[in-house]
Amino acid sequence: MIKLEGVTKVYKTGVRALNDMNLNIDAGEFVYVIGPTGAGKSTFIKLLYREEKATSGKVLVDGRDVSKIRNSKVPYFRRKIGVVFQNYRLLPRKTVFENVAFALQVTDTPRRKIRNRVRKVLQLVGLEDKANAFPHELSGGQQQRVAIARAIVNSPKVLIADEPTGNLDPDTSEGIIELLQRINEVNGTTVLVVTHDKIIVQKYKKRTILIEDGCVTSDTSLGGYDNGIN
Amino acid sequence: MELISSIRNFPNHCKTALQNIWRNGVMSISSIFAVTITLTLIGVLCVIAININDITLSIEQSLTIYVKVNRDANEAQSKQIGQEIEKLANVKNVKYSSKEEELNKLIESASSKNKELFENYRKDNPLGDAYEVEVKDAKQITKVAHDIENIANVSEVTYGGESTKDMVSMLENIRNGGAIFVLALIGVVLFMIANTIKMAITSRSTEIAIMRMVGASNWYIRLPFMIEGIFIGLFGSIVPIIALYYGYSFAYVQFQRILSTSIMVFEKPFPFIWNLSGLLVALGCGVGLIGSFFSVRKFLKF
Repeated sequence: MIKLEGVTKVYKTGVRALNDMNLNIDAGEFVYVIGPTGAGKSTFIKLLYREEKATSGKVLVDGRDVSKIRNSKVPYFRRKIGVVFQNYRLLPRKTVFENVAFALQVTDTPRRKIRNRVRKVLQLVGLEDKANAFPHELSGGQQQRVAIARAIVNSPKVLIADEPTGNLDPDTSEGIIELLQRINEVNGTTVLVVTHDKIIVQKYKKRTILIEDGCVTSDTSLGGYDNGIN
Repeated sequence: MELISSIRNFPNHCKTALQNIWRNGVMSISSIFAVTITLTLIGVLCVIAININDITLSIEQSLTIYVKVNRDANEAQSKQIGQEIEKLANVKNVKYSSKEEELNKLIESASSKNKELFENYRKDNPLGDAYEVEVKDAKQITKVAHDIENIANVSEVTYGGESTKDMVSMLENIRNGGAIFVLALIGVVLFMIANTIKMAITSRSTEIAIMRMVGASNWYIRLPFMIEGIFIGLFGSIVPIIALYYGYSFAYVQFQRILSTSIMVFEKPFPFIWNLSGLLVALGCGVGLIGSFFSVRKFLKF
């Protein structure tokens, strides 16, 4: 599903964020991406949803070379990927329903289908009773659930979560990770979770990729944060 | 494909635009307010400039050349002069006035004491026939006057000479200066409105980033903003138009009463007010549209 071949990313400022990185993630996997700050985790993710272009090497997502997608086609490519951020990034002046529905509206989905689909997704994340609330009326955990609902509403093949629990307390964080796992199991979505949260990685053991100095230094399917890291 | 989708979603985009105006409260109001103030300013200046333009034109048009025909010329020669003047370039209108009519005019304009004196001339009229010549282009009045002087049997040509020429060029300068001033002001004002809209949009850059995140195409993001710009222009032009309607109707009546002479011609309120209102709406909407188009564009680059 995701394949990196000798990917190097050098920013205009001269910062070398990724250095000859190779990686392969199959469809339906659940993967943690961990590593110290500034190691290149964010750059790696930005390459996947084409926020940045690789300087050299190949980034393949769902069989497509992401760097070769024309600028005008990027919006269509992004509909195949769901992204969730640490700071939720919800539209502040739209209700929960509107926020989730927005991802479907842009794909020209018929209105009735949107309503059914959004209701179903809100049910999945456990927020069906908050459909008409505005984001600022919700707790952090609830906002993150809305963001997840929006990310999965158009059934993407890949779900990328960038520090999804960074702003949340431990209990809420576990709820979010369990939700991501359920999405991975029920929908078969490939899920990538970038995280700093040792407790989570220890508790829900999955394949864990460690990125240090711009390349993968450890890749274990055993999971856990204890392979001499940090 | 994007175009078809845009058209199909047009009602949705309009709804989103109105919703955004409502939910962005203060920012929308400040944009609308900026449009209102500037359009009012433009409206007032247009009213003044257009009326000054009209007045100077009517002054220029009232300038005539007065041609005296030689007393000795017979009727046929006199008519001949008229025909020759009409053939000249730039002549708009030639009015013949016989020597009897000239005397009548003289008597009418004279004071009562002189009237009796002039009455005596009825038997032996010392005046000759005359022509009043109107020109098309006031700047050419000197040349036309010289041409008329060269016609046989013309005794005297008067048109105000150099002072007329100076006045014509002054009126011309007033008109051009006014036009430049109004255009410059419109330019400044449009820039101001565009800037206000830009500020409003910049405060929503995260919103645009999120839209792009979920895969909205550029036009899908841009259109609601553009429609929003049009609505802001539209709402902003309501007050100026109402002010123009009542203000000009009232001012017209007052000015007519105080200043009305044959040359102080003001634009009649209708259809002038409607035309100017149309211009204001078009300016407001146009600037809103273009301003938001360029402001959003900045955030849509990859």
